[in-house]
Amino acid sequence: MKSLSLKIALRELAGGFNGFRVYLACLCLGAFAIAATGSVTTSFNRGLAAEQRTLLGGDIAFTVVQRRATPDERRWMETRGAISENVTLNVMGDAGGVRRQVDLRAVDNAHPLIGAPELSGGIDTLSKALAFQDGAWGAAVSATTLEQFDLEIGDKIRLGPVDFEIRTRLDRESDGLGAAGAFGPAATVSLGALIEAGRLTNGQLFRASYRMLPASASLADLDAIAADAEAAWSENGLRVRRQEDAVDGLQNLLAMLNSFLSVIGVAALVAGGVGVAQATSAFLSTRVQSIAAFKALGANIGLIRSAYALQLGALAALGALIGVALGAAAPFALFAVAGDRIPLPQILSLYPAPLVQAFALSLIAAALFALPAFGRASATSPAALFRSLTEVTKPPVPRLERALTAVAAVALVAIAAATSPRPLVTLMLLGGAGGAYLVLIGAAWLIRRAARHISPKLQGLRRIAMANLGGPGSLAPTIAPALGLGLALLTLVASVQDNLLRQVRETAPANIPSLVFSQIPGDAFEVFDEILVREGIDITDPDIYRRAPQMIGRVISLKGKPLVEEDVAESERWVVDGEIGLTYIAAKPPVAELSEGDWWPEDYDGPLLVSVEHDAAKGLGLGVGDAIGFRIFGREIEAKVASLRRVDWGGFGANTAFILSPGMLDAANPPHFAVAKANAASERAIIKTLGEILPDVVVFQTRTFLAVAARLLGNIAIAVNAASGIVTAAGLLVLIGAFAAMTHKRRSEAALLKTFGASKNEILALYASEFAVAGAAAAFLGGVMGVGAAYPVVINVFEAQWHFPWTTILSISAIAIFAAAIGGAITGAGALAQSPAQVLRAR
Amino acid sequence: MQALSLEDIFLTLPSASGPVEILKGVDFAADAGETVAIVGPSGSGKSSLISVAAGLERATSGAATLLGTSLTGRSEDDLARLRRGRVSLVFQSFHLLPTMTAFDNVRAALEIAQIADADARARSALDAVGLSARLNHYPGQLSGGEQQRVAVARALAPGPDIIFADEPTGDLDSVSSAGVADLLFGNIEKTGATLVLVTHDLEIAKRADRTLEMRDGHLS
Repeated sequence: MKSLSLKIALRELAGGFNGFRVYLACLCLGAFAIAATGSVTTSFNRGLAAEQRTLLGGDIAFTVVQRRATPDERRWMETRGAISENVTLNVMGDAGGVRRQVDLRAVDNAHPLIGAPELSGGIDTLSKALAFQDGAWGAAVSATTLEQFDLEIGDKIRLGPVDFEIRTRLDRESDGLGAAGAFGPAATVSLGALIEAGRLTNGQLFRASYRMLPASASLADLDAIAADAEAAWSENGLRVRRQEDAVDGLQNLLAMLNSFLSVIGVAALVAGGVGVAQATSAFLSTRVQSIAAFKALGANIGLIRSAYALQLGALAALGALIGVALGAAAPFALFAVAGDRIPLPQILSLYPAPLVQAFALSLIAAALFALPAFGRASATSPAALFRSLTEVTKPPVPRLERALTAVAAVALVAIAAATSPRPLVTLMLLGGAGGAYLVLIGAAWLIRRAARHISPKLQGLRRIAMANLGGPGSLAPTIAPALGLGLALLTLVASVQDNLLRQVRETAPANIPSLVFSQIPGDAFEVFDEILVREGIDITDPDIYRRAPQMIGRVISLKGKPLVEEDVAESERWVVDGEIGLTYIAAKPPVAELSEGDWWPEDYDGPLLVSVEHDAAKGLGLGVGDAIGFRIFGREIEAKVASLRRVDWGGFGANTAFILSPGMLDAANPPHFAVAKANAASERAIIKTLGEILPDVVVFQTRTFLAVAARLLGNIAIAVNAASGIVTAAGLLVLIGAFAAMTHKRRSEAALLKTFGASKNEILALYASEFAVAGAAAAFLGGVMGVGAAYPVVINVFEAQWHFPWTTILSISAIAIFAAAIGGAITGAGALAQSPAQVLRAR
Repeated sequence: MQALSLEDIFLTLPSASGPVEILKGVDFAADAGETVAIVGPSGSGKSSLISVAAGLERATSGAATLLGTSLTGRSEDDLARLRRGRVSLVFQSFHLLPTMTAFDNVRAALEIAQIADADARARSALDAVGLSARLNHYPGQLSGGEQQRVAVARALAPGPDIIFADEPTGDLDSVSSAGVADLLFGNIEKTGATLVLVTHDLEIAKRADRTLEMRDGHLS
């Protein structure tokens, strides 16, 4: 029997794939999306893993902030291996009348221990380029520095307290990803220059890092060095960084991106699943006579099932294989086209795991969507098979196929989650996509009911359009889930993007300060205030100007117990995984909204208190009255939580996680930071005057940062939109299949309408309006679901202000409705291509 | 007055094995109120004759005049407008709109013909063919005989001047066939419309005023 079913399957397959183009294309698209996502992210991950030593700049590294390593620490390191010291800090660059913040890196002569930076346009050796020569220190600066200060190699630039001669252009750091200075002006200078100028004294804002190449770099030796360092120096605030730490953040980001894009792939399979179901149903309806004949000849249902399962399975495997092959080639194609613009290292290879995952998920999706139609066809009695089948006479799906469909649905979710680097995220996203799909199926049923209800109230061709939408063979069950899912995803992504771009371009510039000042000397803030007053800033208005002490500290204990980072909620781990900005303020800032506890009296001078940002406190498990320990200026101090406070991170306010009470910290006389709102002319004047009177004050213009952020956001949006477009493409594929199938069906309807006296234009308008109504329903549903999903993402994840993206949604809807109407007109034109006599004769 | 006139009509259609000459110089006329049956073997060109006469197909050569209007050189839309409310067709395989109920199938034809009071006329037409209880059934829920009765109701409802019926009983059993024929001829008697009926059923053909035979593209 088995060989007979195979023979039947092969004979029928020999007839070609007519009617299966959409079936193959839908599975191919979904498989491609999953395989391509997996292959590209795996090649990045492998690339990062291979480069992590280079990115760390050594086999192991140690960092301290606001100080350099003590002689004891330095000796301890030098006894274990070769050391290179790097210091990073922000300074003001000043050249040719332009003053801007520059990311400065100061390196010793041993830098880099691994690899070499890419230099061009001048001296090609870093140590020579940076050396003190002919009465000046040298600097290697990024292309952005040359551009923004309008400089050339050989020109002079003042960076912080030192004048430098630009000796070369720094194109790429030895330990960096992408071009140097991608986020703004950057420069590398000699450590000696800053030491000589006294810029690296304890307490000032900078980070020192010591990369090490030990004599033996075996894992055991590195583990031993790390353990020794923790034991000997962690009390001093010295942190150990391992190679995996250098890429940890990026790999987490890639894992999130992979989860999101894989779900998009599965969503493409689900949206395309409608096409699979449709093609299966159409195929089996053409085999009704054959199945009846087989049954009449004595074939049992098992033979019928296996013969057609083999055919559908073989075609599904073919579609999936094509998609997997294209997906496997995706990293090669991506890097061939855009390799030089991608800052991440990659190892191009064929990675079997994502390819197997894509193949399996595609086959399961095919089973999920083909099984109901398959079950119905195999269950139909031989007698009924000789009659034409309409929807109203379809038999129910047999129990076996229903059970297998359920198993396929569970398997699809289980495999997608099990193979995801973030199973919970994948499950949540899949739950959202699955829920949306079910809602769309329900909505399709409602659309049909509504159309059936409305059609009697209309007249002529408009009623025919509605009757078609409400009657058997309606377009609604196809167009609503297939197009709706893609449009929902597109709307979601576009709405989030729209809101974030608005935040960066409109909301933020209006709300956040235009200037951020740091490193205002603790004994010169009165001079600083005077400069601002002179330039027209009302320093008494808290909506215009704020200034507070600026410290860097680190959380070391919670409720009297040493901090365990893993115990902190992942969303709030950023407040404990490194140094964080701290301040102390006497009077409650006007915008600080206390959610629990009370603010301290303005003249408070007692034991240290702290006001903690509400979400951070919840993530740390802290409440009012609990103790939290910090290391500030190398000292361990403990504070009691006095209040919890809500922060508008995008606003002009007290937006730091921790605000300490004054008194105890006053003695340290730390530098201050300040924020101010100013117009462009005042900004220029303030920066110029500060350069003359308080040159060490670093000024950050948010305007330039927001422009960079908007550009980066735009680039990310292109990638995510392209990925979301795959689901819409799957929906469109399904529609194309539906159009093709309908052209055939509608041919006789159009011919008949002609016999009644309907003109060509009337018939074209009929189909265009029918499809447009279905498209509008899909666009509306997709829009509602997309916006519904985008709102919590914008409010809760990005904590940005929500603005209803009318333009985006109306544009997406208009395009969807227009595309559907065009599809309808094409279907109509296809149906009208033959004369009515030809069509009616053929039937 | 002549309702239909065909003069020296030739019709050649393409096929996989080359052009096939279907009608070979057919001359035919039907007076207003006349019933004419056309019989003949399958493939002789009977249905093609109806297609040309109703303006569904262009003759390769010859002159066709329907209800006093020459069909020669007219666009498809012109021909469609000419048919509105004045020309009806009944087909062997019913050709009902599958997405619409019986009532809507009849009503749609009336509305396209821009005939007033479409609802009442559709209801009355379906009542006349004995389907008042099946108004809201879709074609897929009706038997073959019932579907053809809906098709007849749809053809008769506008009160056409001429009806072309192509094997209207070809897919029906004898009881249903007689019922459909009664409906067609009974209506013609009442309204005075012209009926051009293609049939294999000689008993039904006998009920027409005259019977012509089609053989190999020639009418005699």
